[in-house]
Amino acid sequence: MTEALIGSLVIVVLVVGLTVGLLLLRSRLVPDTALDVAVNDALHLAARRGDKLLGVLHGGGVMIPAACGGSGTCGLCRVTVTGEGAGGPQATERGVLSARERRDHVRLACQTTLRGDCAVSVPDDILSAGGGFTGTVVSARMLAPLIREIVVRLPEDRSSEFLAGDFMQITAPPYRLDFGSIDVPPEFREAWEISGWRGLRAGSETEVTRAYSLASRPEDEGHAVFNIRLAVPPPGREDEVPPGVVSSWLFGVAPGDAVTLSGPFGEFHVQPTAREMVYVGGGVGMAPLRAMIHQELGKPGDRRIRYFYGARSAADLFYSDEFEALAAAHARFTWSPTLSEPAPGDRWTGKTGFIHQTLFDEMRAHPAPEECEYYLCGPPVMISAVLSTLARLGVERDLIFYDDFGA
Amino acid sequence: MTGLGSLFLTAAFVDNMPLTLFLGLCTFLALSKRPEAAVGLGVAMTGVLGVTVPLNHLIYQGLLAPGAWAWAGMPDLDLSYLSLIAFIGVIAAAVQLLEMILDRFFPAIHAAFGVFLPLLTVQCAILAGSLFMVERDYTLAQSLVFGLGSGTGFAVAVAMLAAIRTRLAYADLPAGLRGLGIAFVLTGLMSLGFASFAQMAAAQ
Ligand SMILES: Cc1cc2nc3c(=O)[nH]c(=O)nc-3n(C[C@H](O)[C@H](O)[C@H](O)COP(=O)(O)OP(=O)(O)OC[C@H]3O[C@@H](n4cnc5c(N)ncnc54)[C@H](O)[C@@H]3O)c2cc1C
Ligand code: FES
Repeated sequence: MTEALIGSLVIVVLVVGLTVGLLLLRSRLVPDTALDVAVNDALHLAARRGDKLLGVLHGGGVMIPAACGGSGTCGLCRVTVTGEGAGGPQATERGVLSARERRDHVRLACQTTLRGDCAVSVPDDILSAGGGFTGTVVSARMLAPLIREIVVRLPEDRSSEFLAGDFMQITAPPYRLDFGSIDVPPEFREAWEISGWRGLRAGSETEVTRAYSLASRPEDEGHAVFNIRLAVPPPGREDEVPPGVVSSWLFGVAPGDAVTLSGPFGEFHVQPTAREMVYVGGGVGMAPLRAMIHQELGKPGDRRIRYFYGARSAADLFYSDEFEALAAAHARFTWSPTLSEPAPGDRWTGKTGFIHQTLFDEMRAHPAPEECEYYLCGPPVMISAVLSTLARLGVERDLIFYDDFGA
Repeated sequence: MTGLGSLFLTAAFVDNMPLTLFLGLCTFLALSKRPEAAVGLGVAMTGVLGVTVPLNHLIYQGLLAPGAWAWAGMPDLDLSYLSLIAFIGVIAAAVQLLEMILDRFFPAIHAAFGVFLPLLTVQCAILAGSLFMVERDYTLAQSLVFGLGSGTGFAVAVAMLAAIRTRLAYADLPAGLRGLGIAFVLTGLMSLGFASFAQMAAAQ
């Protein structure tokens, strides 16, 4: 009995003693000081030692994009930071930032812990864009079993101008959604029944923000068009893994609903050269490429444009009529959709196989594939297959531009 | 040579923690990519071992060892089975303190450590220092010297490995060996070298 008592006492006193000692040392070593973060020399934000820069900027209404939610993978929260207080780049940042960017004091705001005063510079339009704004859904329709087109009318005072390739951030409010209540058009019902998506439920207790590329055409003035892919759980894991938070919410919105947006932002843009352009897309990689192709074809000039788009079956192929019409109207544009698994009922007479194979077959006959510019957007497996195909064609990396949606 | 001097050298070279006893290899390999990080780790290990071994000695002899409570009329009381939990507590506090010091004064080293800094709490070489101290019945002075010696040995070894690995940046290695592969081979070779210290000690 005494032994147990003394033993417990010894350990308790020891742990309490260590804790008190650490607390004392901490208060001397880590002073809780107020810091000043200067943004573009125009705005001064108050912060505390140990705060993350991203949180300080967002708290101050500087809505820099952060598509991965601060996990250091999307690289969209790049800012230039000078001053002692930012410390050196973290290991997580080395994978994302190039050596040149690191030398130029570019940091990921979500990985920067403040230790002192610092000065941040962000693009001026982010500062003037202020926080988010509210748009109204004017139409929503399913294009493929898991892809929905959403058109949002922007407020009068906001220009719908953007550089093709840009994205906006959409914030979903706290919500609950029963997938049984999603209105699936008859042609996609079978796919939904077979995959058992009807039984899923999604929801969130907090606001969540994600990035979505603009798929708007010039004629969509005043509106923002999005192609949203529903992030369903991996097959067979429907019971453990919930569906994606924001994409599910967007599958539940209806015309008339309000949507909180911010942006546009982006770094994936058409280069101002005269080179031939080759676009390769899959899935919702359609969105930025569609905007780019429409903007390019609207410009005078004769830049040749090829668009390779891969889908599984005819049901997954969308906007096909639109691109056929563009190809008929513009001699400099060709559209090559390829299906990897056409369904028997598709009566598909076009190309079959994987999109990188179609690309290889066609570009091999090209006199100089290494002189073209390549714009890729799609699922990560497609991007990596296309990158190795382009390497086989002898294309240097500096002519390849891609958006992997932060994967 | 005096007893303490030779204890220091034995702890640092003959019983080198990573290369002779193969303790603490995870941090040893992970933080030996760049010399700055390696030197930082070496200093940190020396500091943590130099503090925790003597501190644990005091706690063990004063509170836990058989007979420690004889003054209170309980000569039979033996609390030594509580030593692991007490040692780990002290080590955890020392690592926490180290983290605060690095964060405050050496942010670059703090960033280089990454997740390996908190992991020092359960680093086997550090706990081994305290356990050897009990097993070998060191006095307080010996504990201090032993802790500092083991830490210095670790620092020397990791700095050497980092120096070699930096040079290897220019070597044309087979693809499969690059990175960790060659680091393991190097560790093995260095360990062979350190085995010669054991021979010297045995010959005396
Ligand atoms: C620049 C950019 C542009 C983009 N453009 C588009 C676009 O045009 N269209 C588009 O559809 N998307 C686009 N995205 C992707 C988009 O931002 C979102 O990442 C995507 O919609 C998923 O978000 P979510 O909130 O629905 O899913 P999340 O809630 O983030 O979940 C993602 C996935 O993880 C799974 N998951 C959830 N919890 C777990 C768990 N515990 N274990 C394992 N898995 C889990 C979910 O089932 C889901 O499949 C873009 C991204 C970037 C960075
Ligand atoms: S928010 Fe910082 S990298 Fe994505």
